[in-house]
Amino acid sequence: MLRAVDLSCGYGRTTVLRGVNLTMAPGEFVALLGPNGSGKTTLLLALAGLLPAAAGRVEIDGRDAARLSARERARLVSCVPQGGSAPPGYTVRELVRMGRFSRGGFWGGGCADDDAACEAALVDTHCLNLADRQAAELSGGEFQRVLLARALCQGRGLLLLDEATSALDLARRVEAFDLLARTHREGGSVLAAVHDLNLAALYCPRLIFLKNGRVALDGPTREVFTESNLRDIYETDIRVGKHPVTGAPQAHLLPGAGAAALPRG
Amino acid sequence: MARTDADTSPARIARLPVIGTHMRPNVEAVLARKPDLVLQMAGRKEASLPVEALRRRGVPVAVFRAETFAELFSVIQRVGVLTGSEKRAEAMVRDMKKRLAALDARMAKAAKRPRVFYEVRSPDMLAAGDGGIVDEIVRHAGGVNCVADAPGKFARVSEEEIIRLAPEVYIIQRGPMNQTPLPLDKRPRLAVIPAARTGRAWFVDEKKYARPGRQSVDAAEELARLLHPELFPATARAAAAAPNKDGK
Amino acid sequence: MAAEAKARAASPESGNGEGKPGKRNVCAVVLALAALASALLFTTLLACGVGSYPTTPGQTLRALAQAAGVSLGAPVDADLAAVVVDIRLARVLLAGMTGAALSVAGAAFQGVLRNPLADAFTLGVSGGAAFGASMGIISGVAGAAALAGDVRALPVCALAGALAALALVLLLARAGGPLSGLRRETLVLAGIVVSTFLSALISLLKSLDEESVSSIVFWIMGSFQGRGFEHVALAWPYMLVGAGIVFWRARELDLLSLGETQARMLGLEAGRSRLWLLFGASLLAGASVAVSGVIGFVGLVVPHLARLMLGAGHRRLLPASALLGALLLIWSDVLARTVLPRGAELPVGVVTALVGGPFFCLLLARNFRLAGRGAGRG
Repeated sequence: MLRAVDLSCGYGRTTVLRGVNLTMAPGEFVALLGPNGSGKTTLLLALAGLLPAAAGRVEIDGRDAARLSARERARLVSCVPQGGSAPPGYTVRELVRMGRFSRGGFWGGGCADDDAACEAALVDTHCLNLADRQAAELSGGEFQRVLLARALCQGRGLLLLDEATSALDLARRVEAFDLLARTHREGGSVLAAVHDLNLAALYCPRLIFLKNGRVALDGPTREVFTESNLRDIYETDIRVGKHPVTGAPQAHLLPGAGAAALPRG
Repeated sequence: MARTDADTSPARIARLPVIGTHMRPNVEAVLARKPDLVLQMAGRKEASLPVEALRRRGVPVAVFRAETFAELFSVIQRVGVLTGSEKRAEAMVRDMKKRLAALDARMAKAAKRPRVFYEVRSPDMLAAGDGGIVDEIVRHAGGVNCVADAPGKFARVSEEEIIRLAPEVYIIQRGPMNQTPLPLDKRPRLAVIPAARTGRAWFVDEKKYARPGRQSVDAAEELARLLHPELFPATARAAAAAPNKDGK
Repeated sequence: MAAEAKARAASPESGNGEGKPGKRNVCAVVLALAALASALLFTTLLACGVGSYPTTPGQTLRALAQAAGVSLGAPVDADLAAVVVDIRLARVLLAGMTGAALSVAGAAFQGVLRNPLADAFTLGVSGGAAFGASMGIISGVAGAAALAGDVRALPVCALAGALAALALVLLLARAGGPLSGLRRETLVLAGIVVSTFLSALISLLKSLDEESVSSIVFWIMGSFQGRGFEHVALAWPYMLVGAGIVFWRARELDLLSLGETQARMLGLEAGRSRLWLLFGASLLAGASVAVSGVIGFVGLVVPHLARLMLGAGHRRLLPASALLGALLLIWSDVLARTVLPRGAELPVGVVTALVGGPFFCLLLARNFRLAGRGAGRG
């Protein structure tokens, strides 16, 4: 489904990723974790075929991403960017409808499929009541939901999300991850860069940790989500407990245990 | 002793040194010739700044305005006084007045005075208004300037207005203001005016018609021959230097 | 937040209650465009009826019908037919085409550069056209060709200048990189540099040949004076191709407004799309400048007005801009040729600037208020 082979890339002369190898099988739900600046966003862009590889390659659906046309790529991979702001003058429905670009003709005549995909995405993300509002006037959290809706409208085969729930309140965040889990159950693959360790451990069966542009850890959640691993990667003291309901591992921070407080070695 | 870039007539002044253009005379170049007298035509604001500079340096500058025959005569007389050739100036004015009077007498016999349109510039259309020397030349030549009640040398007109004015004669000046005018028969939208239908359209020399001077009388005589060939004996008609006929 | 959302869902005007989603919206757009189109038709008839040559509405209609091969009673006389059809109708057509072309080009430039102040001037296209025309006038090429019966020489010089300026801007902006990797900031900078340079060159040409100054100034100011069907015939193929390119890529303009990364996420080859759109818009603007001179403000103001009416979606914005631009320029030209006595004319560029300037200020003030309100939210 998605594969990075000895992938190195960056921006201009700055190399961000150094020799990343990873494989995602169809139907996986994977969280991408790691401290700030570890290369999560860069890896997502590269996997989506949006950033050219300086060395190595990315394969999407068994084909070299560099050889895919933009439309082919967009039909295979849907991305949810970090957020930002909407251009003025578009309603939410129009913005979500842009997700169908890669599937329509140039003028994009409203075929029934497109309308259906758009409405389904609006319903699934609880955005229907926003549909006729100006996208530029939404709050940050509302806009993130709209971006998620747009990606779902684009396609549900492979979703790449970059901190796509960071601005959502707790209820909305759970809603969003429930939706991702549902997409996953319905056969889609999801790779989500997440800041919230516990959310990742709660929903995702597999975790990939990046550090300094390399894959530091990659494996089933119960195996890699350990105190020593987290302590190495995040350079702070972390305790791992059990989720009282699901039994998933959950991380707990300790006050006063920044990177400086950690014993060397 | 010196001239502006555009002054090339009469031919003998062409050898004189140039002190810049009529819009932007070069003060340094003028001072370098140490002139006793500088003459300037009135009318251009930007050109009057260098004049002030010359005056401040003690160079006498006479600024003249000659946009009608009456003004022209008085300018010739005053330049005569300033340059100490009063007699010649008087004679010149007398001669010009005599020729104009003779022309007027001849044109008095005209059965009809044709409506004349004088094109100053195209396609940014400017016509001769009823306040300049061209208007007077047309009148002395036995015509009527069809652009009436437009005080001043120039009048802006549209193509549509020309059709409304329905001129019987269309005169196109050719010169610096109107460098590459099209002949009337190459202007499809003006094909309906009487001048185009009867072929009474001519090119004339801008320097002869639009610049007041001794040649203004020549211009009146030339135009009179074009407007009223019937009033000139055949020999005189042949002798007249035929200006460019429009078209072909 | 959830409660707020529920309240909103319950309120009657939220969502769209009836039937198919977005249908109401589409109807409103079609209605608005139809209203603009009929206003355009009405304007054309009206504009053919005013001018310094006295005409009655009946005569105007008869003359127009006669030109279309339909006879409505007695034939009108040749003067009147020439005035109504050859002069006024040709000007109305040319003004309409030019207004539409400039507005669509403006909308495209604004979309591609994601800059609400962009228009044909920003990328040096207008400046290039003006320079091309000035060269044509000074070198005497245009005059000689006109004498030989070919009025197309000057417009062709202008169009060549416009496209050459665009090429120069692209070359400068690419700075050795690939053309598809152009950054819009670099593009705008290169455009401003080229524009400034060209206007200096035009000043140089003017001071080298004072006798041609009035021709150049007249041409640069922008006017439909002395234009006729030959100019319509000259401009429409370029405008059609340019409009075709831009309209065909209307959805791409929507995507580009999201920014390059998001546009590419959604499947757009952003670099190539931008080049095509710039080319199409430059053809439109270049052809406009070629037949009418430099007319400012239309390309800047009209897309904003259209956006206010119908939103930013380019599949509505482009046709609305075209219709509004045509209306605006036809009326400006009517003003330009009727406001002075005795059939004297103002350059139409002066009219659009006088009308467009204050209007644009109002628009800006309004936008600032909206932006202020937007910032106060969420």
